[in-house]
Amino acid sequence: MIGLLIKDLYAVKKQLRIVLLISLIYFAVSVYSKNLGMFTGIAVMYSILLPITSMAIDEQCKWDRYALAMPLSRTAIVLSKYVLALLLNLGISLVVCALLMLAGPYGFGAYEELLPMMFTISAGAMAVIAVMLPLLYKFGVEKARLIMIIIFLIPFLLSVVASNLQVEIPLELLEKYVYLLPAAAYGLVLVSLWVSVLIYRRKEF
Amino acid sequence: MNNALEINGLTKTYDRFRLDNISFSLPEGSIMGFIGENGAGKTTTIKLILNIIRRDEGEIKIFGRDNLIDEAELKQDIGVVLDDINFPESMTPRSINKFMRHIYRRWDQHAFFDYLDKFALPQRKELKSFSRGMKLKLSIAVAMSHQAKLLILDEPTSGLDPVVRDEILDIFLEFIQNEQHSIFLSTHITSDIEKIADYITFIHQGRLVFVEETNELLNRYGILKCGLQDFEQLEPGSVLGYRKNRFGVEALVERAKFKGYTVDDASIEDIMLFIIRGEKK
Repeated sequence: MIGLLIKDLYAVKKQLRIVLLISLIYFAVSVYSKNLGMFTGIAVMYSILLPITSMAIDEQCKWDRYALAMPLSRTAIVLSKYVLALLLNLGISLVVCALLMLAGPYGFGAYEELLPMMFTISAGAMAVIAVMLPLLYKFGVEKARLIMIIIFLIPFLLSVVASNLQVEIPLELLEKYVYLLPAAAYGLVLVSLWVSVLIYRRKEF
Repeated sequence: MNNALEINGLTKTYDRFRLDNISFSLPEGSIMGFIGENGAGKTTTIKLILNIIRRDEGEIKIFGRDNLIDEAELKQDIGVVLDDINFPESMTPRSINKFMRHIYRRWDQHAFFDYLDKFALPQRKELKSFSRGMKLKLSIAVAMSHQAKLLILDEPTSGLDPVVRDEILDIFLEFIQNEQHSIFLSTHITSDIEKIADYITFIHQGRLVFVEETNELLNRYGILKCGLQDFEQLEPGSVLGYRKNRFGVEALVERAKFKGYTVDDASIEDIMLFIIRGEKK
């Protein structure tokens, strides 16, 4: 599995550099405008793009077919993608964390609140990946992208419907349980891994 | 003699194609050429051997062990070249070396870099700047750098010029000097097979046509050239395939049945073409 991770990191090396560069630009802008919130959100959400890019690259060069000819189990191949996503997510979160702690104390924005928020966003990014990966395995990159756009429309539509119907969203209640969100997100990742392995075992290349 | 590869009753059905009851075995220490037209089922067979796709029926043994039960262990000993180059284009031969050594237990980076030198492949260039021939050579280098005992190669020489092809065939012949080593290769280029293969397996439309020793095959069959009238008098069933031209008829026949006639040598390509395209008598 280490071999697969190294291969994936090499494959997305360029994109990873671009994500880091864009994050730094956002960081500079955020420091300038004394609002670090924007940077935090965007940098962590970018970490979602990398595992998807890695799947797109694999699909393009028919990597999976070759991987299956090597001494690698189907479970290990799928698991390595999840570990890659997790590593990228954690890595980028740590970079963001370090930058926040670097800039925060000098008055470039409130960072005490941003740190816990960052972990929530980071867990949220993993939740998105948890939804995305089984779709990518099942439908391929092209179709999965469309399905994702539709899926992400649903919460938006629901909120529009809710506000039209004047349903009161129990914000206080949500805030009370917000610390459960990361746990729920990582739980979702585990379920997603299980589903992806099931899909991948049946797949032919 | 032990078999490196043994296939029994292998069957796989798709909507429009069926690989039907294929059986053959490749003795250790030999090279088997796997021939057939496009779409005959060569790649399907290779994917089934490697369990990239699931078989419907049949049994595959590699070094006497079931290919599904001992899959991970067996694949340590198999070097593979598939019909496409399957590395991401942004990688370099050097980065391939870095991850391959974590995948194959016996990955030998010296051997790998030696092959890169031999094939004149740059170590630090991205694969997107490689020609098809260079990419193929890279795949061959990877397949041969982890002390594999069995090479399974899907069209390893297509798209290469005759000089490079010859070089690669020499490397295959060198590999086979170790009598525990074996090669199973599919190809369109039948002249390559004539040069190196000990056995030939021929499939057509998903069915096995024959498995033969190359020399025996070439000795057994020949091409009879005769006039139309003489041809009419030949026994039905004695001709495997024929075609008419303006001088008369050319027919693929078994030499033993035509002693006293002038029968020319047939190449593997002739045998393949007469059987697939020739008319039957």
